[in-house]
Amino acid sequence: MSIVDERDLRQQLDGVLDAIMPPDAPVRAAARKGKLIQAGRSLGVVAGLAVVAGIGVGIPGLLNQPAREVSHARPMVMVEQSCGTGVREIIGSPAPVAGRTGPSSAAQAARGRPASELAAGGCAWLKP
Amino acid sequence: MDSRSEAEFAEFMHGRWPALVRLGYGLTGDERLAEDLARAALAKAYASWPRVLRAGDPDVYLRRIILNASLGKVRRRRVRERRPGDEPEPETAQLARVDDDRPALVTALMRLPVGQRSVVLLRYWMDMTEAQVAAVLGCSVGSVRSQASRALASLRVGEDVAEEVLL
Repeated sequence: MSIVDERDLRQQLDGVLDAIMPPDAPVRAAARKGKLIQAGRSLGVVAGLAVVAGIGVGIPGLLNQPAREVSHARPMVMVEQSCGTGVREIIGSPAPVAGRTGPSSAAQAARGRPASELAAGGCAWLKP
Repeated sequence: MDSRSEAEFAEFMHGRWPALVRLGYGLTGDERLAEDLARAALAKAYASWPRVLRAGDPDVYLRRIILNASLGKVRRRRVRERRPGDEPEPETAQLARVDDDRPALVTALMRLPVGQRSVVLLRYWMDMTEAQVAAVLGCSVGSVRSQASRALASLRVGEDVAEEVLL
């Protein structure tokens, strides 16, 4: 094989490729396969629409779900405080306070209360 | 598709079939694979025939399908051939038969990257202009020009290497 220039390459390509004698065009087979491709595409479109419809129905349903019930009872603050005698008294309720049901610390509970109230009698009962 | 379009498509297919198979052969170096490619391209054209006609140039559409499909086939075949434990590919020079220019040219074409091979076939076998080749391949005219030049250089060098090995 020797390729001199573009013209030579053209001639050689013509010689090689024009020598290929393909059989008769498979029109029916191609048409059959083409119809299958069309059917596949239609199926894909239908499936896509179904997914879109599913999302259209599902997402608003999820968004419009009723909110979780929140306790409107007045929260009772849990206080743990030493009363000097070594006895620890705990009062409280399981009602959720700011989304938590655990006991609040005394410092948190006492926040905003006058110091005199806390100091009086050694023990301070923080009213709900 | 109505009967008129069917007839139109059949006529189109009869007219383009040989050229498509030859283009496929030039791209893959395998006649059977070339027929598969041409058949698949025509099936795709059938599936979107009204759109293909609306686009204006069905030939560009078909060539693009064949080029893209051959790229995919070449990639898949390369992956299969490179499986661990397989025998390595025989040297190209051993495959080339000096007494017959056909396999030698096809073998030389197969050694080119698919992009360069496509440019060679479209530009020098189908006599398309650089702009037309660029439109089919979806690249710039400058890229077509550089790929053609590199392909020609490779074909010349490849020929020298093959001769040295055989001597």
